Amino acid sequence: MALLTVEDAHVSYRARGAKVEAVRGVSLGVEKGQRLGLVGESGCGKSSLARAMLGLEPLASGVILFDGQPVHGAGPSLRRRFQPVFQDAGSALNPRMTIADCLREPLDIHRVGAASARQARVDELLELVQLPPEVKARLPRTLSAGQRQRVNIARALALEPELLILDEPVSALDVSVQAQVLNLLETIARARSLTLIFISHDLDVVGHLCDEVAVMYAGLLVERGPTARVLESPLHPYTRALCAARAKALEGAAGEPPSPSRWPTGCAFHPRCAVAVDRCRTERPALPNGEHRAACFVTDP
Amino acid sequence: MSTVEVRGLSVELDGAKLLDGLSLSIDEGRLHGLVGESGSGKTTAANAMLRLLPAGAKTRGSAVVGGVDLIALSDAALQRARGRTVAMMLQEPLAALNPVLTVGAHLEETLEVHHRLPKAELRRRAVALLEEVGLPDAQARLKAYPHQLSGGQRQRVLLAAALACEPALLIADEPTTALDASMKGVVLALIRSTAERRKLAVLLITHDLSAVRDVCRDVSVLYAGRLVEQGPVEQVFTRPRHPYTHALLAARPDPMRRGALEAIAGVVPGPGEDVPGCRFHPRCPRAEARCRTEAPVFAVGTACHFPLAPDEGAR
Repeated sequence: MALLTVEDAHVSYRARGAKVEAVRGVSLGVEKGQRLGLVGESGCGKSSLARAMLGLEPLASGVILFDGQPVHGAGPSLRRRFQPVFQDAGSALNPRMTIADCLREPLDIHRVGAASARQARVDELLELVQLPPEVKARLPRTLSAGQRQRVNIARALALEPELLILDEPVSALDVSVQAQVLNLLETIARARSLTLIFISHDLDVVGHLCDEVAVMYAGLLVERGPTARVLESPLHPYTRALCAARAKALEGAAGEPPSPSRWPTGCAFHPRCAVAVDRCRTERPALPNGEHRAACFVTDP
Repeated sequence: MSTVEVRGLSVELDGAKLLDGLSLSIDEGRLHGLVGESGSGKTTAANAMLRLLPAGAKTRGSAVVGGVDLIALSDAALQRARGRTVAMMLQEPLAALNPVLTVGAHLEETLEVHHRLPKAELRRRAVALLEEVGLPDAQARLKAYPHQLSGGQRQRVLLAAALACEPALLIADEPTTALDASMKGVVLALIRSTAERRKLAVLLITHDLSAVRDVCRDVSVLYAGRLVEQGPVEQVFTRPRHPYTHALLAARPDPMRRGALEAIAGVVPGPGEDVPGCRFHPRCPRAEARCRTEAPVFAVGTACHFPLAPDEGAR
């Protein structure tokens, strides 16, 4: 059985009285030890889905199960088994708490070990993310962005979770620092057989770290498959455009991503799609079963 | 002589050297990429050329555009040169456009400041500019407010405004950073075709190496305020000479090559931080004693005491 199961998840918001459907029926499973990359552009619903998977965003309908139990309304013993790492490393940490306190807080809340042993655990966590013990007494703002993201990763690991859900964890970092943090994640994930859901708009970053890729567009999954197969032979016209832009900066898709307050009918990509047929304008294609598949009437019928 | 000749451009603010001796030239119709990580001085260079630095900043060197040295101009002459000689396209189009002005008002205001023209002529030119940057239904768009446009459309309006006074140099500061992957290519292609058609020199400031590789002719790599490597794109990207350029290219994740990335140890020094010798030496795998004391002079495409041999960094 999958460690995390998303069944027909819908997330919606009310914006100025109007209903905005951010996630419009996503189903996916993540096996234990798997690393799934979730790719999509701004407004595609990937962060809403991430927050829903963490139980932080209520579902309009559908269900999300961790190890067979719903994540919404989960008690502390279930909750500690899946942890988030967010994009903005600075605002994810309390600016008035020292690094030692930031790392100790989850241990205190979940009453992990004897109070006296927690200080040793903080040292262990810092060592794990390759930060010197000197940072313990410092405040988050005195650290570099890369160091702050290491603290967030350490904090997420404090309770020995099985699953990490990372939402654009390296997007705000410079290229040289990004590589350090990606290497760290790789090492830690391998050593602890962690299951990862890694969300990013950057296909290269996702491809480097993950063994499977799922592509989101307009609140829906449009493609899923093993990383190498998705990147080398993408099926969905949208994934094809992303892969073309990755290879050559002047490539891309015509038009612009749709607005969440007014999704196109049928396949949401049809207004930008070069191979769309009449059926694409009225009927929404489903994501079929299989190892590598796409929700497209034309390229994966 | 090129359209743009920057020589020894340096900026000091509160004792910190933000930019230290940048030189580059750009021919008409060409794009020059200026790349570097945060704190490298790339935006400082743009602000120095536009004379938009905060009071107290000391600028040295020259930036000659179309025969005019922007750094030496008097304030009155500068007002005339901005827009006509050099124009800027900013990263965040929503912040760069006044939310209470329509697209038409933006363009007409820009045109009016620089040309005395009758109202009908201003409108005609505004429509022509929007058509040139490929905004559909230009006449109707004049009445639109920035929030009614999409990100890509706003970026086109900014480009139209930058072109309004027919500048010789366009500085584009991270023009695609706020855009989605599927749309970046369209904006880059638009900037490039505009440069070619108008014989415009473009300085493309970005941290996006692939954008520079695919649209620019030449590239300058900055590190902590200093120029470390410069040359034709195909050379710098395939056979980098400076260890920093080499490391920057190697640090990008490649999905087809799993395993550890060649990360650069340490962090970029802060603007006030004084690193003696080569500013990259604390992070450089090739550094020797000389690098710690003696700043390398820029020569033959790179500023490094021990550059990679021409084939050593081949990628």
